[in-house]
Amino acid sequence: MVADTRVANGAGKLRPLNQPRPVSVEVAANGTPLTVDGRTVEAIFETWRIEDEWWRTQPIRRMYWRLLLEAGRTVDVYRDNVRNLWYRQAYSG
Amino acid sequence: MSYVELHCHSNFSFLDGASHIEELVLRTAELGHKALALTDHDGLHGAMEFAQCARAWGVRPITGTDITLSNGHHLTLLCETQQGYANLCRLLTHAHLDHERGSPRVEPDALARHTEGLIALSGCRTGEVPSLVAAGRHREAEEVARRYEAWFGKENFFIELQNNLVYGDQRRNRGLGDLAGHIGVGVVATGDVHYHRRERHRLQDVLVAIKNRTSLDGSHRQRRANSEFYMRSSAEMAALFRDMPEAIANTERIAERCQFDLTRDLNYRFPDSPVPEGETQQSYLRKVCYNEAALRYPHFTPNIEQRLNEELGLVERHGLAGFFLIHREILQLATEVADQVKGRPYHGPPGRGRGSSVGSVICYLIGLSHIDPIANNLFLGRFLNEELTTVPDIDLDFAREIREKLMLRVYEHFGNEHVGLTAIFPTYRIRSAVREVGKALGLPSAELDRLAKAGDGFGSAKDIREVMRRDKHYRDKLGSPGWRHLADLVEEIAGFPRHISQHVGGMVIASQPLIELVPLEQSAMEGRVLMQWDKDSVDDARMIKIDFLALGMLSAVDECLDLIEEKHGKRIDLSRIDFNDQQVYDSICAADTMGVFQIESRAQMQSLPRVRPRSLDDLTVQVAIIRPGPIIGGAVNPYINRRLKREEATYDHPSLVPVLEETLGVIIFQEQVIQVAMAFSGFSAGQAEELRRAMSRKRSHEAMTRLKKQFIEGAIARKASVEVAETVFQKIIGFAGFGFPKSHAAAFGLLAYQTSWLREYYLAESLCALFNAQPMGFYGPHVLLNDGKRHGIEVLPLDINHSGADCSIEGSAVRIGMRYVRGLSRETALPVEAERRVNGNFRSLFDFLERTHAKREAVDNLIACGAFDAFGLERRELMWQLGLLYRSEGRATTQRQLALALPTEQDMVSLRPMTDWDRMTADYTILGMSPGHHPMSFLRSGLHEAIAPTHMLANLPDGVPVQVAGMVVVRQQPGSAKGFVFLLLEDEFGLANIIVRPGLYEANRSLVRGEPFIIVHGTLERRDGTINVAARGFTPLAVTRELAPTAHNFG
Repeated sequence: MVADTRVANGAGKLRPLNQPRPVSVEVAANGTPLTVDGRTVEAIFETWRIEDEWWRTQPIRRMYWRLLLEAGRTVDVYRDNVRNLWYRQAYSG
Repeated sequence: MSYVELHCHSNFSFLDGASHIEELVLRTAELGHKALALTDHDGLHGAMEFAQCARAWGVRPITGTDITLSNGHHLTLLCETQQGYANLCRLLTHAHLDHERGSPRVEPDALARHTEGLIALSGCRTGEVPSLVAAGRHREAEEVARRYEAWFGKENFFIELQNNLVYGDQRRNRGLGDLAGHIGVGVVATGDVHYHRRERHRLQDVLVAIKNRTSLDGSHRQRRANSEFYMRSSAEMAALFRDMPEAIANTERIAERCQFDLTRDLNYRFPDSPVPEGETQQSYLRKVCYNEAALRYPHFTPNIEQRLNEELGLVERHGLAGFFLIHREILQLATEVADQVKGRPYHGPPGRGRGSSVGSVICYLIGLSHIDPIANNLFLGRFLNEELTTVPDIDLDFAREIREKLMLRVYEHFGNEHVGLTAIFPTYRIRSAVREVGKALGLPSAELDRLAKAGDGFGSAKDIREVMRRDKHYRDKLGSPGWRHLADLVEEIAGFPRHISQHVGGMVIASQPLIELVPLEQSAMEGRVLMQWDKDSVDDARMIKIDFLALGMLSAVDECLDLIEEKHGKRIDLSRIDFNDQQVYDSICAADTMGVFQIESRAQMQSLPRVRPRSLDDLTVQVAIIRPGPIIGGAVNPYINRRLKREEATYDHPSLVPVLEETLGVIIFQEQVIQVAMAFSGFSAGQAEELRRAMSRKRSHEAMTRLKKQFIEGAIARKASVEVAETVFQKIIGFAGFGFPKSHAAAFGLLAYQTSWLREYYLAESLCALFNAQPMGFYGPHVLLNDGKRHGIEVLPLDINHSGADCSIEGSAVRIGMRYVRGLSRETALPVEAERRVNGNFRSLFDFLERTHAKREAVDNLIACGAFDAFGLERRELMWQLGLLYRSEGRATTQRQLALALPTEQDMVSLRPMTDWDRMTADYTILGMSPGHHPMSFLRSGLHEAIAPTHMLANLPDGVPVQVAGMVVVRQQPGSAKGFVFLLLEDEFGLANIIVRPGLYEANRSLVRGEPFIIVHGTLERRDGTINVAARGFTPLAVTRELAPTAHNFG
């Protein structure tokens, strides 16, 4: 049995896992990320592109980077080439 | 740094590659790549086309393939040498023949035994080594890589790296690079190209959806992740592999090594025929020809001898003596087969040559042709000439039953490894493209079906926008994204090969095993094996292809002669009939030619009263003139007007007079194209033949441009003006390849006369033979039957105690055979006939059921069409009896267990007898024709009196308004008719030809295309002995659709 925590239900606090989160990215002239939310990009592990659903009014066109940021953190970011926005989202293929 | 693409798929990777070979080659040339390897899946279907195209555009072709191994992984193989090519063909043959059709697989031991001359690349993402590396199974990856290295040799195995910006590509490439370094083999970069330009990725996605029989939404897992599988430039590839420049450099090194050239190194040899001791192929052929000439030419004049020696000289020059002797051998086989099929010595030649070969004296003498080319002034140069850049083409027509067995005999005689059937590649046309692309896009199927039907049967998919614009409903849809995508993609998929299929009768015979020259695979037809090449590739390879064609009319003629012999006790020799019988020509000129070979069609019947052929020479022209070539080339009306002396024959240039005088100044025969090019532009026979071939083949854009330039320059050099040269060239192009050589037309014209003669004097036997040879010809059997009745032939209905499996002659009448009954076939009816022959007539329905065990459906239908009428019972009562006599065993309604020996009185009911209308309806539904009444005879009394019966049209003057009603038996929309549609309407009295102009057709499309019975309102037109109704409007006649047999629709 779990003790009653006496905290009100917080259904509104539930959120789906791994949703894309907007990030701020500075890029080089060739479009390569230089910083992500102010953190310097130390290395680029991998790049890949996803293009899908071109037959819909909202196609998917994204360019992904797997980056090593300062302080040793690895992140996956992508540029949404339809809306020209950057997002962070862990990618597993 | 330069790059060469070594892994590229064309649309011969069926439903995967999204570009034509020409598009890939052109893009390669634009990008400045020196060479290109074509590596379609598990086959070399497009390899010859690719090699020819690449050479033409200055790109060096590398032959290769992407094979599927028994474990499902892929491996890329490239041909370095001729031995490598032979090994590749053997591997692919093994993959296809030793595994289930459609799932080719290469077993490891087969691969290990066939590596010499091949360079192997470790494959795309689905390659075994790349897959293992991607999965982190490095030790296993190393084992597999070492195995390939051992099989192929260190210098001949490379680790293949691909970077299409797919997740995991770069990590995998790092692993593969490490592996290559560790075991000491090279790395090579490839693009895994599936389309020539990025935009084509959409079509590639659609192809994947089609292949997986689902929509784009449903094929997410199977589709590629992005649009990066296009042909890249050297700079783009260098950037992608900047960390491994060696991988780029190796593409050129490998390309340099792959010097095998399919256009040059194939090493095909035609087999020699066995000849007597002391003879060579050439000397024996000469002996055979001279011996035969002594029989066929009692007056062997110097002219004949000169012609024969000219041909023998050309044969010797081109080394073709064995070619002709092999054909003679095949004809001897055909005679043996014909004797076996008939069960007695076969009378007459077992096959007939057609096409340009009929112009050769040698072919005439060795029995390949039945037309004397010297007496008929036939041109040799189309078939055999000094330059002869391609091998001669011989087509042989046989009766169907002889052809099937002959092809098997040829396999037995020459050996299974030495004989192969040629392939065809059905391509996407508008209907299939709309349906399949539309389904992939998830568009509503009812809409797609309607749009598909709006497109014409054989129409090009490139016409999709025009078809959509014609219909307001679809015109409006072009604004919406889904339908716009459909239009774009249907245009792109136009002409894509869909799959491999068997050509109707093309066979190649080789002295060495064919499986070293071209891969073989299983045909859809049991027991048959196909080459992976179509006739154009076979031609380019200079392989000798023999076309064994089944001509339904030859079967019909054979049977007709048998029936005449049976009834009249004499065997007619069709080579000895009177070829100048004016009674026969009277019927021909009156267009009374239904069922006659080549001159029965609607268009032929329209032209016969105008052209009025009165000799075999005239018939030769008649056969040739109703073809797209002369029609589009604008030859028909001028020829007719000149023949009727309404205008003078004119010639664009004096040099054309000797060439075109015979045809009154217009191009009618295919070889006249050659003769015009020679006379007008100074082309040699070989150059002119190249021009003719280029006009008729799809892979000839570059060749046509070059030849046109030569043509114009040649004409100018011979003092013709540029304008005249352009005019003459346009007439040639208008003719294109779609005409008959004179020799072919002569062969067909002869058969046209012979079948006319048979129809004139033995109409019942002709009709009976035509019934038994169906399907064939222009008209359905119901139309033939009604024509026969109008000519006084009685057609007797089915009778279970008189009808055989086939239709037969009874006295002077024709008895319908059981093969026409729905639910029965010739094969299932033969035992019924045999049972009656052995044990006597059937005494009752019960007796019939007991003795034959016929299926319920067949018996129902036999009753319904009157086969048991002679027993004196009403048909409905018999059907009732049948129901009592049958009792189902569980769910099997074909099972029968007799409940009672005979129905008892209390089981019988009184049923309304079938009316004449009911019987006629049953006949059409079950037999497809009615010996009793024509449907219009019942409808006539309900029609307005202003509606004219067809036989009254001949009494009406030109230009009067007229109405005519009937059953539509033929619909035709010829490609050459500029949108006009033609209908043949049949009533109880005859036929009427209806002309529907394009605008009227568009406004009444579904009625014209779909209604079986209509009233036509129009204007009568009388022209030079022909009578037509130019339609102005239509009213459908409300009659049940099930009544009408399907009309023959052309175009």
